[in-house]
Amino acid sequence: MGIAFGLISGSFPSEKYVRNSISLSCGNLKYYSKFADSKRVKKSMYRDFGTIFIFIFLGIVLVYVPLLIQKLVAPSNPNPDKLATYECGEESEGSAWVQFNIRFYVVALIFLIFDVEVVFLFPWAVVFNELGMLAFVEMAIFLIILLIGLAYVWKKSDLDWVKYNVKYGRGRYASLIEKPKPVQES
Amino acid sequence: MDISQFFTSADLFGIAPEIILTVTALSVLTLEMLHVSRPGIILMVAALGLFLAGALAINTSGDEQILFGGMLVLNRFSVFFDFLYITIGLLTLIFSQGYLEKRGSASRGEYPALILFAIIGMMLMTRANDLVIVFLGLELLSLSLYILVGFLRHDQLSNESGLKYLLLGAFATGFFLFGAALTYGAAGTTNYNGIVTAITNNTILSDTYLFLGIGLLLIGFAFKVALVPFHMWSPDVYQGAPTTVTGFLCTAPKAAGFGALIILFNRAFVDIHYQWQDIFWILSAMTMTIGNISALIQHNVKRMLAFSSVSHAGFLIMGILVLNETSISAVLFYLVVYSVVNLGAFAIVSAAEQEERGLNLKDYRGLAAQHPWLSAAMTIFMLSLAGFPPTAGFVAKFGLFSAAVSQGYIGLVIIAVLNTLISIYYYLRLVVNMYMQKEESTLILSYKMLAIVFVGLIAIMMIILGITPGYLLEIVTEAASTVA
Amino acid sequence: MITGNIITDFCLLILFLPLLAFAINIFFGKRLPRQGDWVSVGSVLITLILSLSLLMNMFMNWDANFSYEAQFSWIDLGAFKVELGFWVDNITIVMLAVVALISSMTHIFSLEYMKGDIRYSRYYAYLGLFTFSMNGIVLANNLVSLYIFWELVGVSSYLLIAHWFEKHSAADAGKKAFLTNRVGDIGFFIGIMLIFTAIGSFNFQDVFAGVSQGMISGTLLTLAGVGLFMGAVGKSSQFPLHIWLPDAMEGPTPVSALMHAATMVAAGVYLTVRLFPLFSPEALTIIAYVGGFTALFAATIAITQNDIKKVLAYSTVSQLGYMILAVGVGNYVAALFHLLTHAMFKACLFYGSGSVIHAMHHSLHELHDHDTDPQDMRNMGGFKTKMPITHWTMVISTLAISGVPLFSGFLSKDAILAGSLAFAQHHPQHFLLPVFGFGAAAITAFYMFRLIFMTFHGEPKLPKVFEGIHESPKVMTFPLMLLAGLSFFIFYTLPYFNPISDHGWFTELIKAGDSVAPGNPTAHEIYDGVHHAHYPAMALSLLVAGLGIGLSYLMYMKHKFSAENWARKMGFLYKLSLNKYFFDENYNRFLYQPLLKLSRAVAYLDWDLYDKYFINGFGRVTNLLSKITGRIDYDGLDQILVDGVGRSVRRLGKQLKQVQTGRLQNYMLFALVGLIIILVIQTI
Repeated sequence: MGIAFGLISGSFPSEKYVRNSISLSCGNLKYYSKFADSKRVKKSMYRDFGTIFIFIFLGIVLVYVPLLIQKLVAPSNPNPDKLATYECGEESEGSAWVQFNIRFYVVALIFLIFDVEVVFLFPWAVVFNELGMLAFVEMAIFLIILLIGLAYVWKKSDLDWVKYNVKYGRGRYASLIEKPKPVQES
Repeated sequence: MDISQFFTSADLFGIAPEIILTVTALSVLTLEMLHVSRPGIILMVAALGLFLAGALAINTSGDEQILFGGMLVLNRFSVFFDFLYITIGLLTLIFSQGYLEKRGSASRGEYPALILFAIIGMMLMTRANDLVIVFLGLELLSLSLYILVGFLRHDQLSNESGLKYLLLGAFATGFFLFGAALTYGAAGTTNYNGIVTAITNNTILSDTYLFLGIGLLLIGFAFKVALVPFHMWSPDVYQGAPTTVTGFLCTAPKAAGFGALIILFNRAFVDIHYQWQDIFWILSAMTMTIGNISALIQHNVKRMLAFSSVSHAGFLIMGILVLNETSISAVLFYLVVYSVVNLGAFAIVSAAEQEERGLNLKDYRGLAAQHPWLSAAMTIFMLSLAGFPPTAGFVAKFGLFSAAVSQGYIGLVIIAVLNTLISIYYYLRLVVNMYMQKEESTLILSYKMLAIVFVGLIAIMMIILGITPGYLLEIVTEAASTVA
Repeated sequence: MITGNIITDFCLLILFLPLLAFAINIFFGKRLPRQGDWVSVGSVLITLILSLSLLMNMFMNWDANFSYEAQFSWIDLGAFKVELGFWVDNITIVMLAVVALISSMTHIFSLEYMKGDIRYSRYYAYLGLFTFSMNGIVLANNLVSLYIFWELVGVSSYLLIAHWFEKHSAADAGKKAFLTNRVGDIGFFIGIMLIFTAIGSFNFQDVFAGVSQGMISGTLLTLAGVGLFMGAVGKSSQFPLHIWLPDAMEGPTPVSALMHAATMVAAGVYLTVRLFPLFSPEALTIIAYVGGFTALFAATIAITQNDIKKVLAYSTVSQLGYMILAVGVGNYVAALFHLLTHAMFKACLFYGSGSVIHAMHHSLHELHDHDTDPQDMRNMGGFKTKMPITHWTMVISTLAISGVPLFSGFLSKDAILAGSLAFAQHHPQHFLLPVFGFGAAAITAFYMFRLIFMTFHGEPKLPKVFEGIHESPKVMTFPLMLLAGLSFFIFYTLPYFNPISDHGWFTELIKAGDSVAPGNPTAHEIYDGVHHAHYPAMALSLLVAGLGIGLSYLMYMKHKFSAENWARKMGFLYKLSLNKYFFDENYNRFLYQPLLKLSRAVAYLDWDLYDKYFINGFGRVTNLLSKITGRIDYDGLDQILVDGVGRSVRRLGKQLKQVQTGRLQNYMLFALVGLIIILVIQTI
């Protein structure tokens, strides 16, 4: 596949390629030395790829070699208690692949937003005295936007575990506005 | 330490449209929260905000301004795109009203708010002079779109496409971010001007990093504008999304993607653009061919239009392949025509859509007898998409092709022309279905009068632009001259 | 003072307001209150105000050399550039005012005349279309847009003549007008193309400059000139293409007044005036003869016609011949002057005839008489007392057309006759031209007074019908009075007050330019000649007009001579004239029928001989061969090549469809493959 594309690219637009590089090189000799000599560029590219491959190789080795060593060295003597998910405490029941209530995610998201907000607030508070009024206004705008969001969520009763205020549409096609017209006989 | 050293009032004034839109979006949310559930009022507020933002965008035009220490650049090019987004947003809001009522979701105020947020994101994308800002805009846009696509939460198809879009979008964002990181690694900065200096001064740390970075950024954009082979999400998502959202989805984000891509390759990577011409060539040829051939066999109108929009992206890539002033202005012209026509077409599709029918080509049989005006408008849209002479689509295609021919890409233009010929088949299939079938139409169209007025206006505009394209050509040439 | 861009804006408004009215009325006319007539009337009245303000501006400027050209680039795609524009000078302004005035009068007149018509809103829509295209002709600064509007005028004329298309004769008349015009337009088109190939531009100024530089000369220039003149022959209904105009009277009378008397038919004259500088001497001679002959020839037909509108139609043809004659002898200012005055009094005459027909029609309608022809003058007589306003306005305009002093026609006709006389003095071999002119003048006076006497004087021929005749309502008499007022000389000689000299604003503001074609006398030489011939021409024309009027008075008022006796005595000539010199019949016999026969013969050759024996025989052989090749072709090549391509495209599509599984994993896989391919291509 790659060879095929290489052939296409070689046969069609390569003349342009050369023409472009020449026209560019006329203006800028230094530029020419760097980019028009594509072979040199390619060579250095392979070298750089080599570094990456070494990294990948090392990454794989460093993960799997300890595991392998562990497999070879450690004694293997399983029993049911050992195989349990939590060896102490609550007995696990059923599969982990169950559907969670979507509200967990909603609550988690809302929590996350304000959690991150606090992350922003801390450094701001530390240097608050030096920044002055403008920084206060900026942070106030930021907080107001978030608060509007919170109010929205509240009002939409997404903070309630049991919703009572569902106002969303049915999503299907509502009854059509126009009734069908009788076909006119001509 | 004085924080005001980081930005001046000129900076704030420069992003005034974004600020206005943010405030509008928040007030729309607040209104909805306060049970002002009459959709008319919310729509009015949103429209007012868009108008105001448009007015401010005009006000900030003129000479090139660099804001926030080189993070944003304001020029005619960006103002042109601001206007395009605002127009698309307004039209989408107008067309959505009747559709959302039909789907029982008219009273939900998030819809205009999300569209406004998406517009802010897109504005940032085409104003950006820094990869980080592009990323910020892209994320704001994408997050809004994820929700919009899955907006009809009780419709399985909408949900499915929302999730698909989220996952693939996240995938694409990963590519983009990784590309930006690698570029940063290579150039030592994410600022476009910095990247240019680094490339020309030969202070790139690693050619490989830069090469990988550009490649990954390109792929990130390719996902967003649906280039083959990164287009696979688009038909599924376009089909599942609420029809008016589909109209928005295949116009504004595509325009933003192409705008940002033009700036990226014309400013940051201008010196090594020529190295990527092969890739653009192949992407363009593949995208238009595969998009068109796939559209041929579709029976669902939304899917057909989705694949057609893929093929249009292929045509548009030609402009980025050439990347001179003529081609950029041709791309801008094409984007305007393509966006407006697609919005109109999707407005009609959304009016025709019903519980069990309305989305298949066969359902359109005999529509012309019942709704001659709408069918005429749809015909104009289809002809314009196909690029028939008296419509604006012809001028758009002609400009793009001639820009490519003048730079010697004759092979590609031949492929493009062949593709145009193929595309006529499926565009006219819809027209043929509307006009030449004897059967009685069973479609009952539901629409708002305002929407129909705008559909008519768009149709007339397409004809007028096809006959006298002078004004728009002038505008796009001026916009293109500021970046080229 | 109106200058620069404001002129452009005015012209754009003048041009497009009627088009807007057309668009509104054609699409929504039936749904609007009063069927949308107010849209058209309003738009044309605004046009009138704008045109008149341009006219006022011209008076205030008082600049004979005023000229303004505005260019727009219509399509500008870099190398491919089409430019359209306006050329506004004093001629344009006067023409705009005439078109707007007559058009608005027609709109007002039609409010009553067309009341209750089945296609009322469409009628007004077409009037708007016509006004738009006529203004387009007047404003055009290049041959292409002139040609476009020329054809548009033809289309709207066709639509309006055939307005009552249920009537067979009306539909036929529309077709005839259109087709006859096409004959002329072919010449027009050839002329345009000749000029364009030689000079490379359509713009008038460029064309004139090209001619004066000799880029086109000699026979080619004459040919181009004659070609362009062909267009004028068709549109202005000159001999031998005059046959359509009398038939065009099948259209509503206000339409006849607007298009077939005042403006559209004058477009041909306007064309020759506009393009006058490029006509070579030979072409001008041809023009002069065609015009002069038409003037006399049509006048002789008008003598014997009994249909009131037919008389006026032939009179129009004759007057147009006058104008063409004036252009031909180089005195084109006089042509334009006559165009202006003729537009006023002829429109007035047509409205008057419309008023009479309207009254007749109503009277007949009340008697439930649907057989009597309401347009036949033999059914009229004595209407003077019943319709005083119509009578007096028609008398005034008849005096004007006959060339009686104190009236506008006298001035303009005099100028034309002086021009032809001067021309004959310089070129004695062309002595026929003034003979045509003076002869036509005498006959015109005769038949016009015949019309007045037969219609308004004497005893009523059908007393019952006469009882029911009433004066028309104000909407109809207002245009009559206005236009009759404008038939007095004073409006054309201001600020001077000399009833026997045409010296006035018109001659001061519209100066003849020099011809750029080689061999033509300069404007000054022509002017000098006309000046010398002025008094003899005036005396002669007064004499002939008096003769005509007197004869008419004696014959139809006092009955000193019996018209019937004369007709019997000159039986052959009478028949010739009554039957319009058998032109239609001769065209039919010598042109259409032979053509039809020829085409039938060709068809016979084609279908029955050639097809049957040659083609079929050949076909049989081929059939055999093709069966053999068909095997190869269809089963072999087609399956593989032709159908194969289509099928493989579809198959490819189907396969691509299978790729589109809807599974995210696959999509991501494809994306990754794409990524790898891109990177590989880049690294190679």
